[in-house]
Amino acid sequence: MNLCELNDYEVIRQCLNGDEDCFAILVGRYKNLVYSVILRMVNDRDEADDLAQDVFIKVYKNLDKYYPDFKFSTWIMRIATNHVIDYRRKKRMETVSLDDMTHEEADKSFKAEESPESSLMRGEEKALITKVINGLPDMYKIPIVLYHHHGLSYQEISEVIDEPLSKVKNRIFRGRKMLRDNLAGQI
Amino acid sequence: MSNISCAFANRIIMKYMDGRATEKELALLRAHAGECPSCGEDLELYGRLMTDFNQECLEEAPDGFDDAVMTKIAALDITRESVQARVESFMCCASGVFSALIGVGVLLFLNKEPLLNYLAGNERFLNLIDVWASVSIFADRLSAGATAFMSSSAAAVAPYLSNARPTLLVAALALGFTRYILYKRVKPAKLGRND
Repeated sequence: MNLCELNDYEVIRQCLNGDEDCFAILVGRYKNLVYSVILRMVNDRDEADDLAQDVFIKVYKNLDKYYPDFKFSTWIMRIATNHVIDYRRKKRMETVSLDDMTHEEADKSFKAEESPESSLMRGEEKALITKVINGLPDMYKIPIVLYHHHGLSYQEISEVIDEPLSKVKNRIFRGRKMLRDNLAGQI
Repeated sequence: MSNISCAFANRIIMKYMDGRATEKELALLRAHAGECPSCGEDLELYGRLMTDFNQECLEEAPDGFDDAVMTKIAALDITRESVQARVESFMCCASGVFSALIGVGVLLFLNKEPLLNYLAGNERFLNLIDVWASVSIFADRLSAGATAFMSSSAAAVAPYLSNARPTLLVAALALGFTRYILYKRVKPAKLGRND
């Protein structure tokens, strides 16, 4: 049987039965998701790289605690968000400098088919929105990022952050309002 | 003039942010936003946010990410305890506790005379004997009845048992052999291999 065709739980069982190389399949499947979410939260590519690696190691160590009641993606998101929150708490960082990120994002958004002026405007717009999103407290930012950037449902976010559905909806609603107000304040 | 309130327009905006607003609702919202500066600003700002949200946001993990993770994992020293191993360790603990209790019981039984002599000189204990007296009489009767029943049962079974020894031996061997066969068959399934 081709290992890549196995579902996540089957891969995990293979790992738990001693085939540790199978874990590379899970890393391959979820590295971009984990890295993207963490990058959105810390805004530093090197830091996100280190933290994402830590998350996979944490996942590996706790693989026997995974139960298929949850989707594996939900479980790994929960570990990733908790890990970043703990990390930031340790560093006592409430807000993150966005300068590096915004310049980087602005550079990335230049495209050949766009005029330099429109590319620049698009880059500035993106940088501005990134800035207001990152200005949100974690309790609002995490649900907003998971919902709007990564397409998780309210229910999945509720499982990731281990809070009731009503709280998730409320935080997303309030987070949007805060984004709107902050964006209006920046213009 | 649009016929929706600002509160209703706000609800449509939130539905729009959830990707659930219908074309009809959006048309109503646009009409309202054209006439209401406050809702117009809301729609413009939320629209800008949605434009950003709808862009591709999945970042590629850096090159060599997989290798870095797998190298770190290879350096880890993790011993995983299977469910079977946990059950076995629980059984070991339980049998340890049971053995300890048996041991204490045997020690108490062997030293019952000095212990009883000590208790006989203890006033507190003597006061308790009155309370236990009725229980003790009942326990004695029960014990005597059980002993008599066991003796009579053993005496009744003994003649048959002496003749049936070879049969019992064969049955025990057959049972042991069957268990061995079953154990050999079940073993791969217990390990949870799925291919």
